[in-house]
Amino acid sequence: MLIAWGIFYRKIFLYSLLLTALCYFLILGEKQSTQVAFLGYSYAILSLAVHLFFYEFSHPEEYYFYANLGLIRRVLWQITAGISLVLILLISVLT
Amino acid sequence: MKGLHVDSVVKHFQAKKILSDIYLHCLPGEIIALLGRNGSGKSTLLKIIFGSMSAEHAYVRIDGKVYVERAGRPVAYLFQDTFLPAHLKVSTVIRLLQVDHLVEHTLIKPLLNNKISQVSGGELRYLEILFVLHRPAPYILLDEPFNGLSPILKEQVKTDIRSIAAQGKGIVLTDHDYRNVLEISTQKYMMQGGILKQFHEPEDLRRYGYLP
Repeated sequence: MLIAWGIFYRKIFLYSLLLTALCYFLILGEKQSTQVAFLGYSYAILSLAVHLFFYEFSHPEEYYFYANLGLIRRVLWQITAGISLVLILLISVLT
Repeated sequence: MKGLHVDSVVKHFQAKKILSDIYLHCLPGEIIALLGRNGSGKSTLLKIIFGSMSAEHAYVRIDGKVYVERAGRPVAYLFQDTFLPAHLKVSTVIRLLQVDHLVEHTLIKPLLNNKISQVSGGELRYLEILFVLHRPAPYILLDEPFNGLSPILKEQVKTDIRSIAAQGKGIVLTDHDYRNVLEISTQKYMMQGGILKQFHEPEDLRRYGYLP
C-alpha cells in the first residue's frame, strides 16, 4: 500500500514542485528573506490544487485503481491534505 | 457465514431515488447478473458494495464480517471505463495488484515492459479484466466487462469468468451485452425502479421493458 501511495503522490509532488518553482521566479523575485516560507506555503497550497485538477477533473478513473489497492478517494485526500498541513505547521514553527 | 450479503441499500441523487432497499446475496462460485436500463443504478450499486461510493444506508457483510467502513473490503472492482494509470508499466501494475502469476500469460508476457498507454484499447480492457479477476479477493464486481471487446476476446472473458467462479470466487457483473451475461450467469436480476427483481427466463427481459 505504501508503494501505491508513493505512485499516487509522485505525480502531485512533481507537478507541485514545478509550479512552486514557477511561482517563486515569477512572484518572489529578489525578496530573499521570505524564501523558505514562500516555497513551503506555495507547495502546500499548490499540491491541493494539483490533486483537485489532476485526479478530480482530469483523471477521476484512476481513483478506481487505487481503490482496488485499498486507497479510496477520501483516504487519498486525507494524505494530500495531511502532508500540506504538516508542511504548514513545520514552516510556522521553524520561521 | 460465507457469501457477499448486501441489504437495505438506499441511495438518492438529489431528490431522485436511485436505489431503494436493495437486497443481494452472492455465494462463492456464483455468477450474478445485474441487468437494467441506462441510469437504473447498476453501477451505483456496484460502487456502493465496493466502497468507492457512499449511500444513505447500506449493510454489507462479507463472509460473516460486517463492513461499516468503506475502505478495505475484500472485493475487487472492474470500473466501466479504462482505469489503470497510463504512465505505469504493465509489470508494475501486476506487482501492485498482486497478480504476479499472470506474468506467464501468453497475452501479457510480451507486454510486460510496455506502459499502459502503449497497450491497445481492446487488449487493455482484457488486461484489466484479467487483473481484477485474479486479484486476491473472494468477490469480484465487474462493470461492463464485454464493452469494447472483439467477439474472440468476449469468448475468452466468458471462459475466464467461469474459471474464476469455479475456483470459488463470487462474481457480480453487469453489462448491456445481455446474451453473453445470461449465458454465464447462475442468478439473474433486473434493476428497475430502484429495486432488484429476480428473473429466470430471457423472455422476462421483454416483460420488464428491457428489450423492445
